[in-house]
Amino acid sequence: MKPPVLSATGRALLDRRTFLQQFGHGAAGIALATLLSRDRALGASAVRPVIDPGRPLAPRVPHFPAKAKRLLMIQCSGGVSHLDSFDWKPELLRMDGKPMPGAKENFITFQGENGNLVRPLYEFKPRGRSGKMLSDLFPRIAEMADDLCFIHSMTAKSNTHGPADCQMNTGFIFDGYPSVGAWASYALGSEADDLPAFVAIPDTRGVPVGGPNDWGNGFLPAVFQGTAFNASQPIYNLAPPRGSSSGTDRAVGDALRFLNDRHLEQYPGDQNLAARISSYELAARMQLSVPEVSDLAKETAATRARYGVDDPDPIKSGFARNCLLARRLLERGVRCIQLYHGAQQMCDLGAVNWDGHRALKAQYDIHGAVFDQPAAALVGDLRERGLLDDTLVVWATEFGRMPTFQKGASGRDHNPDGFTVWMTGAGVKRGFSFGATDDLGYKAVQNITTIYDLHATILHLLGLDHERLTYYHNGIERRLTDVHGHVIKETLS
Amino acid sequence: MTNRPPLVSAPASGGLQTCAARPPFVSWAAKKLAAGLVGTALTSALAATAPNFVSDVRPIFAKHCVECHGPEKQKSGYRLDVKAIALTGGEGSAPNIVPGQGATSPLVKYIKREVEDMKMPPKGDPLSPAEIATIAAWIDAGAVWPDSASAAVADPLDWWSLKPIASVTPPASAANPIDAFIRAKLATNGLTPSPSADARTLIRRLYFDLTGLPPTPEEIAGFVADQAPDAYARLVEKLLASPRYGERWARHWLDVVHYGDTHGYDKDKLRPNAWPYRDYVVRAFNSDKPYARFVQEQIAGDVLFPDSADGIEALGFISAGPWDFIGHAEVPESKTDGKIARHLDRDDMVANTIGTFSSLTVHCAQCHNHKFDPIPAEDYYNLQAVFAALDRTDREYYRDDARHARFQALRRVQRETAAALAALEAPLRAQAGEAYAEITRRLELPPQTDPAEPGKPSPSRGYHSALSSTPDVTKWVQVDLGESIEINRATLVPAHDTFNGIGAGFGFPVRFKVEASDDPEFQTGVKLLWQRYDQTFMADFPNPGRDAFTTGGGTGDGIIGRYVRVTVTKLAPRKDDYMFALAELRVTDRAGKNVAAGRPVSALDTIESGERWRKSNLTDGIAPAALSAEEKAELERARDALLLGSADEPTKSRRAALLAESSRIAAELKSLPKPDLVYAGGIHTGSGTFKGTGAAGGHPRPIHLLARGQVTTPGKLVGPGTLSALQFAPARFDLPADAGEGQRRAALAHWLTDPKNPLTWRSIVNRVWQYHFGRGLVDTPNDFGRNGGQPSHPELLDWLAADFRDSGGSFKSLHRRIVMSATYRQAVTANPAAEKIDSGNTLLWRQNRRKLEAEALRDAVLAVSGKLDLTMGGPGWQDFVIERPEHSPHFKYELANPEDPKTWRRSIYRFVVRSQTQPWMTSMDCADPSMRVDKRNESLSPLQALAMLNNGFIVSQAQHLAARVRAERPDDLPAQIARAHALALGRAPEPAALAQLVAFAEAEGLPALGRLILNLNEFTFVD
Repeated sequence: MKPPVLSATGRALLDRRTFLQQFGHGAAGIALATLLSRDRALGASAVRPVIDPGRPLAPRVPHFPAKAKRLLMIQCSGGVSHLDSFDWKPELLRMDGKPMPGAKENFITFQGENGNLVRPLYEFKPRGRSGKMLSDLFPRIAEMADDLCFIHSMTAKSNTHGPADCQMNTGFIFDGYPSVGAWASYALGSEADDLPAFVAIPDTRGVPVGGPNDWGNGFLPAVFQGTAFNASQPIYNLAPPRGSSSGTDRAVGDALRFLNDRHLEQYPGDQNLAARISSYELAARMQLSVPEVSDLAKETAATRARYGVDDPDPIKSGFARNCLLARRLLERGVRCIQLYHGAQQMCDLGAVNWDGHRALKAQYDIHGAVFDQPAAALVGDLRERGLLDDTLVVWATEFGRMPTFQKGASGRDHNPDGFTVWMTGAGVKRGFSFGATDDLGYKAVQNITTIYDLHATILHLLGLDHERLTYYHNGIERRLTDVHGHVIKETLS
Repeated sequence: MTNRPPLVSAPASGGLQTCAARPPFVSWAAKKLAAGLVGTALTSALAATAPNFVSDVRPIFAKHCVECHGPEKQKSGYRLDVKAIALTGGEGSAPNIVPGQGATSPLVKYIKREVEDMKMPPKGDPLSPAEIATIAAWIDAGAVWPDSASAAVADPLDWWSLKPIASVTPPASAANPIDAFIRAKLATNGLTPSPSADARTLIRRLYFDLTGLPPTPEEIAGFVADQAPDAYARLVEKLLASPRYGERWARHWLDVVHYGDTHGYDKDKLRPNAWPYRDYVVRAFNSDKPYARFVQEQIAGDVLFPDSADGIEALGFISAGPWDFIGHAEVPESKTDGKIARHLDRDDMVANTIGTFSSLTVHCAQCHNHKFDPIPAEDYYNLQAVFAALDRTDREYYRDDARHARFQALRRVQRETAAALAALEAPLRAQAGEAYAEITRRLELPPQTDPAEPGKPSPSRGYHSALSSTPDVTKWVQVDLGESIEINRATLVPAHDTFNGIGAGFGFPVRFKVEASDDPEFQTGVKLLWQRYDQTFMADFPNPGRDAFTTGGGTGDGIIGRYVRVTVTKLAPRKDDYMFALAELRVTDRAGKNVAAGRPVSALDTIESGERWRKSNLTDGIAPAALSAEEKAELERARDALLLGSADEPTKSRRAALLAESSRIAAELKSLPKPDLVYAGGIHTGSGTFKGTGAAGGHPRPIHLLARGQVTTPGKLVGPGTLSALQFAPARFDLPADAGEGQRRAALAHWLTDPKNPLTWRSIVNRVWQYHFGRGLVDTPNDFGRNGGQPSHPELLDWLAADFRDSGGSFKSLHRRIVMSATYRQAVTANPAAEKIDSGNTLLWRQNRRKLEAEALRDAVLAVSGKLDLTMGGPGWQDFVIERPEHSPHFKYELANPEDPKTWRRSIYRFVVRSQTQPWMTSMDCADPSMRVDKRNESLSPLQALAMLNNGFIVSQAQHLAARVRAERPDDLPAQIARAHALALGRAPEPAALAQLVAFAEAEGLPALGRLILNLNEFTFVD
């Protein structure tokens, strides 16, 4: 099938130079009017991107030269235990089975009473040249220790999954705020002209605990919302309706373009009519390019095996396919990907995500085996293909877990006061650890870091000043980082 | 370090509500400062020995402080370059400088770095001891600061929106005042208006603007053919009289007030009774309710119009926004997180009220004085005090006004009677003394008695689980019957304990199930005896008090098991925690024998506290004795005799009369049908964690000024009031001490609707204008402050505001004013010359082309396909399937059937979910119900294109469109195509286009043609 070409009128209108000439004359229409006509409120220091209504996803220059052109956020939903994965606490071995020092008789956390301290449930070993102590929960990721930049002193504002996950994805614990990817595509547009600027890849088992808010556009125009799909679930509405032949579909597209062009001729220079025509053309290109990018059969057997695409466990192969899809999207210039492992709780706590309240070891044995190989393959593959030179990868989870077991259970409760995330790739130090929790991993005590700081750092690496990337909404120049956040300079290479 | 409740932790800094810092609006020239230096003289003998402000103190401020507390930034709203602010400001610690008290002035403590979190400056070098001494000495000497050495600040009240509405006379240049204002401004800018749009364009525009639906081809033809001069005016009247008008404009209103049918937040539970407010808004627009009344009802309808159903339903405004279920239902008000939740709840009410009616961003003043507008933090907390008694809750009322009035009257008399009775009995009770109290206790607190020794009180209370900080924790207790037997029924006997004044039903589980099994682990062979554990919000088991609860009896196929387990999924509240307790668990066999008696008990956890609470108490046969009806009556007789022993005859007969009255009212109330419910702002009387203020008489909660919005550091107590920047009326409500909470809201309602309030009238006419032109006269309809826009036509805005106010606040008159103007009727013409002068069309040299909003687009598709169901009102239709309603509902839109006719009603009646918004609507820039939306985005994206081309809704409606035109124009394909074209676009296709469409339809079929037409630009945009 021949890719649809841009209509004559659309091409003339949307040619960048022509557009700028016309726009210079001021044929500003109504689409994105709030973006275009609000210079008045633009403060001296705020830098609002100039959005071309005909090509709202056109690439835009950052505030300053960026280290990273693309962002991949890998998120493990449910709250991964830092104590059993990345945050080595030898003191916990010594204190295993003893009560939490200083705790009152009944030490109550999110779900209720706690029992005694419990040693890490996975063995920690020195890894790489750096000798970084990491556990066997993620053995292949651990092998990459010399490439990773850990932040061990993360803190979250909420100890409830929904709000905490919402904060990790949007900066706010409430619904209705734009996600990291929405801000990034609002600021920077996209390098890919036949794919969405911002893709969310939910777990094959369902959306993460924060739901679709995690990739929402909030008060930003809808064009900046994340497009959700994964290797098992194609983009909503991408496929032609059932029973409609591809011939019919093409005929509808052709007739539509013809009639819309005729209509546009009566209103020469109308940006909105032209922009809508071009949005259909991008949609048509996506209908071709998305199946192509999603077609993992084109990958070599070695690559497929490396990710675990053909693993007999459907959950693992599902995640492996999602990881491979992420790489293929990044290769094609997608600006931002939010890739999730773990879904909303449907039954037993911790069965489909990292919320290990009851039987942490048994559940993490399963989740770790699913997550480790595909995720490590993704990061390694990106590095070997040179994509990490200008791609930032961030691994995150909404909060950590307690050094104790819950009373009467073999799992750990929520802990928003100390947990670990890591970054790797463009602009980030390799084999570096920042911040620390106390000896028991209970609270961040050194270089305490907020999610605002993490977001400020992500934006910084994308060439954006988190204090200047704003959008006016109900009287406030809104930011991803609210009124907080400091770039974590120590982690920058 | 131990007790971390769920929900949000107190923010580490910066308070709760957050606002991005904006650049300052005050320009402060260094030259001015330099000029101030000249000619400053020492003015007193004291000053001669004290440090001089200009030469000694100011340089220190400049070096260390002014970067953050000066012209560029005003952290905490504080400045050390402006005398008035420096000497009086300081937020929570104001004033920071206390003349004469150098050592104790907060400023000095801060620079001495004595106060945690307030070590100044936070970054950079601290002040040297000498510098600190200089400042302290200067303050000791009276903090003399020459006026000439203060930077100037613009008068914060000098702002257009705060000034009285001007009395403006329209220019005489045009008959229609709107045209006169618009043309005058066009002329001064060298612009001319565009010609009127043609009739077909006008009728389509007017239909969408006033009703949100397209005109039918017949209506268009009739209008185009109607050459009478008043044809357009008659069309306007017809549409304003249509019920579709209220549906269209109510949707705009619901955007502004952020209405939703779920709570939002973490557990997005349903609000099944929110819709009566939505219907009220539709009705208000259709009946052209005067705006002042509309505002008053939404703030204080229950107080000002108590006998009307509208007065209750309208209060859905107060509850329209999101509600934090966990923060209220699972965290008590006594805990920090509970306080934060309630603070944020009131914050939403305040922000919604002032944002909606006054177009100001008052919520920016909750952590500090407003950075840009003259709104002190105290104003904000005064407004919180107005709503301080309220929660979001279901309110009882009757939709029928007459019945509602009777209901209200009965409840009023009931309250009065109860109060009179209490007043009458109080002295008698005091005189009756201890004997009376003892009987009362016996009536209320039956002793635990050991059946072996009747009459002897026993310490045994029962079984008591361990404590938990949240209710949604699963716990269980079970009894081992010793052998597998057929179970007839189980009985749960409530415990009794005076702890926290709980008494009967102490710890009785709120949601639970009873099961039997032969497996002590309950992993296999589990049979359910009874359950009440679906965790929907409404399904709590009411506390049975002292009455034992017995499961249903076993039937022929009886349940067999050795172990009987009570599993609790929602615990009972105790004080600041949760647990469950039972006095006895009895299990009867088919012979009626209690086979659990004395059997061993095991449990997930237990407090095992001496003889009172232990597992074995569950089967020891000791339980609170229930009083028999006769015993109870006897005790009551004895109590009354004691009470009335000292009473005279008139008191006795008065009491009897009151009691009779009380029973009569109770009987009449009972005879009324079940009341209707609306989810609204109101006094909530609840149990457990979410108690509300009802039990305590509905008195407002105390509201403190909170420095940085932190509930943990309450400042001074404040009373009810409103914005002090508007000076037409006192900002503090001077209410009598015994005024009910409703008086506070009534005062705010009257303040809002005062004819002299400039914000109210400007705000609403600007909103209406925006929905007619795509852009307001002020293009930030929710923000008339300094961060927002300024009016493009200030005189027109004031004229419209005054005209609207003075002609009774009629929306329909305002619409008439606007749509009858030539300005509104202009064509959407291209005019390159005009574009060069005014590219954004701010001056309205033409009408704007507008994209249909999500709702209008969806409704138009249904109208064109012929499937639109115009049934009005009632519970919202749902186009999703709910999974897992017992925990956090999951809304599965993809499981909905596009062929379900229930979903073919107008979009205003859609059930609006907050956490998972409808994907098709969201891609079309539908308003996010978590946010107050004054203006829809109008973006264009490939996802919209895909949603229009391929979504099941469009595809199925395209088929219905095909079927419709086939039926309406049988056996004539060109006529069918022309009909579909006319239905969607309001015009016949040109002959050349028709030929192509016929060829298309012949090849691809009529449904494909329907899909094509619904995707045309011409369908999506309104000219």
